[in-house]
Amino acid sequence: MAGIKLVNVDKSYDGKNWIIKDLNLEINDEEFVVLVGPSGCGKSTTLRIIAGLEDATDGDVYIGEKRVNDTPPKDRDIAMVFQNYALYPHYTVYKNMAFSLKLKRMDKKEMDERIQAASEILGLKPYLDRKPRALSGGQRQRVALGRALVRQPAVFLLDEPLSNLDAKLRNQMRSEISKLHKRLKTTFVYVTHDQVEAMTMGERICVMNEGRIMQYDKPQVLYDQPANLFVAGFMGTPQMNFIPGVLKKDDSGWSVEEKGHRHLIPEKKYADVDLTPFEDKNVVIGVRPEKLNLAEKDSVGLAGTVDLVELLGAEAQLLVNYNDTLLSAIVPVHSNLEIDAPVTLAFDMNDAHLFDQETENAIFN
Amino acid sequence: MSKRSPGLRRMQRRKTYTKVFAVFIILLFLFISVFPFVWVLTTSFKPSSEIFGSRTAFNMIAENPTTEHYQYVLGKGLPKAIFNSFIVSIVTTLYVIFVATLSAYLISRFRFKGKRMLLGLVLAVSMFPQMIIVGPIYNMFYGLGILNSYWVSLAYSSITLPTAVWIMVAHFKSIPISLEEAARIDGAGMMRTLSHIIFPLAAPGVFTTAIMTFIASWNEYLLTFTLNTDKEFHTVPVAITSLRTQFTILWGQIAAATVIVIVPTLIIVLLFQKQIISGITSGAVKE
Ligand SMILES: Nc1ncnc2c1ncn2[C@@H]1O[C@H](COP(=O)(O)OP(=O)(O)OP(=O)(O)O)[C@@H](O)[C@H]1O
Ligand SMILES: [Mg+2]
Repeated sequence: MAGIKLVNVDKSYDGKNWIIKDLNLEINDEEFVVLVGPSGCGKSTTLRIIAGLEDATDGDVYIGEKRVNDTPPKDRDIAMVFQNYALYPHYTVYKNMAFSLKLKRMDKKEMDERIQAASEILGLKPYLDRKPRALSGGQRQRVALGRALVRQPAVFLLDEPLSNLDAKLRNQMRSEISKLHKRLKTTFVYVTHDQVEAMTMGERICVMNEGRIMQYDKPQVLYDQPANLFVAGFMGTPQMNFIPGVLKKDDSGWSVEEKGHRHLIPEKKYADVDLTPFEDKNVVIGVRPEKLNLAEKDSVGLAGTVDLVELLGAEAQLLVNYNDTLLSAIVPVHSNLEIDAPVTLAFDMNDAHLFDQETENAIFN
Repeated sequence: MSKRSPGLRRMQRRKTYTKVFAVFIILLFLFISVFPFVWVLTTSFKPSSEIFGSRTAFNMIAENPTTEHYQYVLGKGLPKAIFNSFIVSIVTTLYVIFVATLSAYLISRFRFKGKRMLLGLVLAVSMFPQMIIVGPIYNMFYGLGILNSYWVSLAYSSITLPTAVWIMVAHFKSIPISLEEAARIDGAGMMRTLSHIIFPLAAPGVFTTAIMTFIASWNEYLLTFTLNTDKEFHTVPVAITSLRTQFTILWGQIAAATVIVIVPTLIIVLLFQKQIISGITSGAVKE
């Protein structure tokens, strides 16, 4: 059982480009943390630094109470599941799981017990004598998990373990991994670039971009109170709409002025924030597509033309060209809209987020 | 569809023509490459009188087939040459495999300065005409006093090693690094990872390389001819060329000896052609 702590970790492969810059991350014991971010943002690198497959160029890595910078991977009490599974192709399922235990010189009986138990949990019993080649993608995935499981590590590290599976299997394995976590009560660090996976699995999510942590919090907090434009845009599909404007103050209070519209900000939104530093500055309004509705006939709102209607099932996603920005709105299917038809959208400022355009940080949520 | 359109029919006719043409080309090519072997084979069973007779010279099948040429060459020094060939080829193969495997593994796994340059150099060396390096190698062997010995294997390997390294590098590259990382996390050290994970997976590559090296050494002529002038150390290809008298070339015996040299190569290729081809091409595409 162990938590993980990264303190001021930097990483560069060539001494010039910094892949990870000043990363501080604390993962509690028994926690399920998801590292998420766009491709190339350094998720795998972070995970590999924890695993010991890469050295941190600077900074300290702790697993449990122990600083492990100089500890080889095998002594870090971790197990890793790779994106391509990395099963030993010439070994049977059983031997794949036995490999690490044999190296630990575990006695045969205990080894067998562990392997039987793990394959019971993962439903691998019928396949123990098969080689990986003769398994389906989902079964291989289970073997990879099993190989980690038998070691009974303090920390599980998983690097996009589901990305090679089809959508249905991915859903199934997703909940199995979550169940596994509940059952084992060990620390899980899970890398993915899929924000849906992150939202559904993570107890806490660490959103990364360009080697930095953008926000690290519970899924609901990331969704409801994104700390910056990046997180706001990254979490949630369809993406949050961004409408640029200028923050103004007059007799009626604070408002955002935007292409002739004035969006009055309800007082309770800025009860805890001082808006004065942002007066007359460029800001961005963020509205989730679910909160952007078709306006009543003849009412004021964002008037544009329909660009695309995409059926999602019970609802439809509407893309509206509004002053050359595309806004997406989730509307009832029967709305009956045609391409290029004029349409007016409206939203309640109570549901809006506001960001400083310069720093991209949230002003209020 | 009872009637086909004329366009479709024309297209199909053209397809047939293309096919006939392709088959013709293939047959022609096969004839050109296989005929000499067939000719050598039939010649080896013809008595000398038939080989040179004006009427019988062009017969495909001998009228009075004989094994006299085989008896002659097998009684006359060829067994020693065959023995030499085996010694030299096997030693070369073992040595090349050992060196190529280790160096190719390092090249494929470690990043170091000048790696591309090194690989390019290896490739360039393998493309040097043998005639150019024979001279220096002769001087070297002369200086070391190892002319006329089985040390010729060392010279052989300078010819076969580059290709072997290239093939092995391709093979090692096709083994995902994550396997080694998994082994590392599982607690295997470098040597155990090599012996338990990497080498078993590279086995097809090692095998291919071994076979190709063996064949190349078996067929090698120039180096033995130059470095081992002593008959005692002649390999089969060289021994064959000495099958002549002052005035005549003993075609019958040469044919018989040639058949004998070809046999091992032929057996190996026929048995292992699938592995050889997949061994050469694997690593070329990502799976
Ligand atoms: N061995 C390496 N040498 C040099 N650069 C590397 C190496 N490994 C990764 N990088 C670089 O580090 C950056 C981060 O890579 P990393 O694999 O951590 O990204 P990632 O977030 O896991 O992306 P993905 O979602 O595509 O897997 C990338 O720009 C990558 O090019
Ligand atoms: Mg990655």
